[in-house]
Amino acid sequence: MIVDKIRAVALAGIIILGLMTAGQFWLEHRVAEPFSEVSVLGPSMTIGGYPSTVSAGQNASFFVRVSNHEGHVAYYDVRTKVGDMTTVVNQTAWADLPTSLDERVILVDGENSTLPMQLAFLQPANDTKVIFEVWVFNSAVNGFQYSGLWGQILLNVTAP
Amino acid sequence: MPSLSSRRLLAVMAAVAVLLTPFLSRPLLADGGTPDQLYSEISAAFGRVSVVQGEGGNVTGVVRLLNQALALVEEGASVQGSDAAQAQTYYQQAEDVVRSVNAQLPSVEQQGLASSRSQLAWLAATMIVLALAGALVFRFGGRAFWALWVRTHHDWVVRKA
Repeated sequence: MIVDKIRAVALAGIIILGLMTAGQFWLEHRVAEPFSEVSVLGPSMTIGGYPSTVSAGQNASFFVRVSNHEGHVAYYDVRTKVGDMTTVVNQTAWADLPTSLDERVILVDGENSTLPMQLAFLQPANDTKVIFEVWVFNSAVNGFQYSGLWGQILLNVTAP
Repeated sequence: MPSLSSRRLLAVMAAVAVLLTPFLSRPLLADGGTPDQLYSEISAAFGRVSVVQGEGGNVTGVVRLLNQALALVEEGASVQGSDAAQAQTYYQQAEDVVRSVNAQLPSVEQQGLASSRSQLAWLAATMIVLALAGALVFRFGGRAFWALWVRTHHDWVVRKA
């Protein structure tokens, strides 16, 4: 009977509306794929234009852009280290070198920050590797942990 | 004798409380602190901020303050070698900012909890309204349909085919 069909359609509409409302509420509080990202920018704050040569004693300017898409507030520590071609850094291992410079920033979800990094190299050296590692604060261990995110720039440091 | 010993116990407790008072009520850091101490306080405040955010609090304002504290610590560290007094001023300011964050967190937490509760109440109300609508459609849907049909087709004339 036509009345039964109309009733079924109306009830189905109401059920779909209910599911959509509940789904929206649920999705609002979830992040499908949480991630952070890092990019190393040159002196003009763009990707590219990195200095390939700097004089010893002269400042080299970089910017590191960190973005938080973790779905929650995050506390980042960007550690800058200076190594050479033999220095190993990857997603699981951070460079086993002292930190030359560190910049900390706290970002809410969806926020990003561009951190200025100014480095002066004292000794001339070829193939100097400038590494920017991102460490994230973990409240459970009350310390920073390596996030597996890093960026690097190769340059030659010449005599002044 | 029990009254005497309890009086003595009370006296000891009072003395301990008096001795502990300066430690319990002391500022976060006595002299503006060192960068390490301040970073540690900022980390602790960040932990509390994370918890408050998990409870639905809007932490954008307190995060801005914590970043301000981080910048002050960095500024202090950068002038530490050349101007220790200025560095202490920066550290003291950073400490004040962290203290302000800690003071604001309870109200941010309350707002977050209230907001979460109202969102949940809104969802529950929507679900109840939809369930009622479903029950009404099921119970009176047919009658309403025919009443509407008759109203819109009242001028129809039935002829013999």
